[in-house]
Amino acid sequence: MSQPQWADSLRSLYDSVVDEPIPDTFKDLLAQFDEPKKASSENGGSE
Amino acid sequence: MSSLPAPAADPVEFKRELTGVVPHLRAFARGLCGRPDMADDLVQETLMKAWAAQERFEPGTSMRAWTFVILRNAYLTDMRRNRFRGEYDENVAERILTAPAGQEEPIHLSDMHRALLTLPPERREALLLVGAGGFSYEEAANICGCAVGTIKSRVGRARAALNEMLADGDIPKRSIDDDTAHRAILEELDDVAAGNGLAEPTNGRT
Repeated sequence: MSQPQWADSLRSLYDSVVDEPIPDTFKDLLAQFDEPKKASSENGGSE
Repeated sequence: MSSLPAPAADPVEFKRELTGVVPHLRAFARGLCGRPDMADDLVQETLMKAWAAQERFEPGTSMRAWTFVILRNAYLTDMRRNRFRGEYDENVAERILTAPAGQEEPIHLSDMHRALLTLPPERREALLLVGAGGFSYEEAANICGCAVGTIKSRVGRARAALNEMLADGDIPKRSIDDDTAHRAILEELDDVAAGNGLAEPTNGRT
């Protein structure tokens, strides 16, 4: 039984969000994680 | 104080992996709850919880699966607290559900999303995990904390429902606008959140 047409559409729906650029709020949040926890001597290493 | 929080994973590596799954978390959350703003809140919450719990992550295992569990639990908890219940806005939902995502999709993503959101939550998440996220039934069962057979059944029912809706072109356009229908969805979700839905693999309906 072949995949119904909507199966591709469902993946497209998911992938369309995956392909969106990550909003800055998330980058900022992730960047914050390092600071209080690890006063790491390494310089950030973000991205 | 008996145990030091010895991180199982190198924090730098952990963060790299965590960053890598953000797009997937956003996609899963968007599929689950339909509202981009609410979905992103959920992802933020997930990231904070994941970071706080990083010593429980086993390096080498799937970060995506691990964080999906966290996201799913956060979603159910939020729903149980009715955090979002009073905030449902028909107009916002309508705009979101019908807005083309940048470009016209040949296959009507908005119809797809609308149809997806009419599914009972436990079937929706099962279908999202397997049909969109590419998880195996086993992985999806682990994420949802249920038996593989239960996941298969949920996916099967979700597929049958979508086949019916989308093949006939009979997408219930009104049902998401409709407050009553939406409330019914939320009530069903409450059952899931309360554990009733999870313990109840059979629903008698096909």
